[in-house]
Amino acid sequence: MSMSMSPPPESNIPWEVLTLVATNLDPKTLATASSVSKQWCTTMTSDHLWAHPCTTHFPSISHLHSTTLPYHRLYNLGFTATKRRHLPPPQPSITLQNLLFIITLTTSTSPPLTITKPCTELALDPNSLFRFDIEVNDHQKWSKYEVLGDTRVTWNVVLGGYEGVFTMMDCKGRGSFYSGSDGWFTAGLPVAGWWSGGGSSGLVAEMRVAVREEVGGDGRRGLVGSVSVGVLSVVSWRYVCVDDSLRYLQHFLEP
Amino acid sequence: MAEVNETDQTPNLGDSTTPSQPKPEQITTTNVAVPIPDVGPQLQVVVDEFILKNGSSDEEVRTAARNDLRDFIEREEIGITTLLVVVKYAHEFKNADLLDAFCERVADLIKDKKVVGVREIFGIVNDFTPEEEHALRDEHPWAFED
Repeated sequence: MSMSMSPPPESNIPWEVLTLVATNLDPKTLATASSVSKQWCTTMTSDHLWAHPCTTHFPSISHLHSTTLPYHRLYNLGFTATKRRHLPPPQPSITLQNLLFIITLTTSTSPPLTITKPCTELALDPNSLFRFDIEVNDHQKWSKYEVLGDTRVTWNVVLGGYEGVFTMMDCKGRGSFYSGSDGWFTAGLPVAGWWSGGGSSGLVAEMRVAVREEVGGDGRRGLVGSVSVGVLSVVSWRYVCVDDSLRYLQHFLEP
Repeated sequence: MAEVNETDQTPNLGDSTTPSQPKPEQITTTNVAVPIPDVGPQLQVVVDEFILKNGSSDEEVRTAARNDLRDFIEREEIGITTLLVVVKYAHEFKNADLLDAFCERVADLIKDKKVVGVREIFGIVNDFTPEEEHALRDEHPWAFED
């Protein structure tokens, strides 16, 4: 009798033989094989085949085993749960292209000075961090703006055509700026979305106003040299990346 | 079996390279000839030779015997019917090593195949309704991701 390649009629395969072969199969193959036919399903989902991989890979849920929760089901639960734990966060639903920064300085001696900058006009940080330098040299008013101890700074972020606005900070300076030294402003950011417990989000908005000295007729004055803004994590003391910041902001900005 | 640390890494559970069962330590093996009806004389000769060499105390001889058998099966493309017949008789005669070799070959034919492909090889008619089949896939969705 020749060794033919033609497949046998199904009645020729006793299920005991199938079980013997099944002990050589990995979980993934067992799972696909279980949809071949009803007989294969019974064989391939048998508890004795799945007990070992289930208890090896997911010992913590294997003890839930019962007649209603066979090992192949538990394995699926464990596999899906483990995969979910390692899922990266979803893409943010807003982009830098959608955002506008509005920065305002106010002092007791001058009217408020505002700069409005679409994020598209700002240079991106090379490490994709959410921090931006805002040039003020080209703004005549700014470069003559004197900063004093009680200067108040406001940083608002606006979405698109004013669909939403979020105030990153609204701070007053303390003490006086000394020439050559910068003014630093920080404000804690509120908790977003899922957590109702209150307390800190672990994020702060930060602004640096670099001061340069000008000596004129009426003595020394501190003028705005440049402004930088960013979002910092107080857990790692690092600037947060752009994507994480966008995911944070979308909670407050999206209509 | 590779260790899995659930908390640190994504475990490599979706692959088909590791069998699900551990190899048993104590195997009841008898190394007598296994006459197999309905297979060609050529295969019977190869099987007999394997059994003979497998009984050797020299590990190298045994390893060579296993490899020779494996190569023969692959080279001659032994059909499913024959493979399963040998599995059946190897089991009846309690020859674990022979059983292993042939089970492995059948397993290799099933691994990494789509369900339709497996049905073709074994000549199985699908007796599920589309709804039943869909429900089954939903029980182990990770196995059907490409």
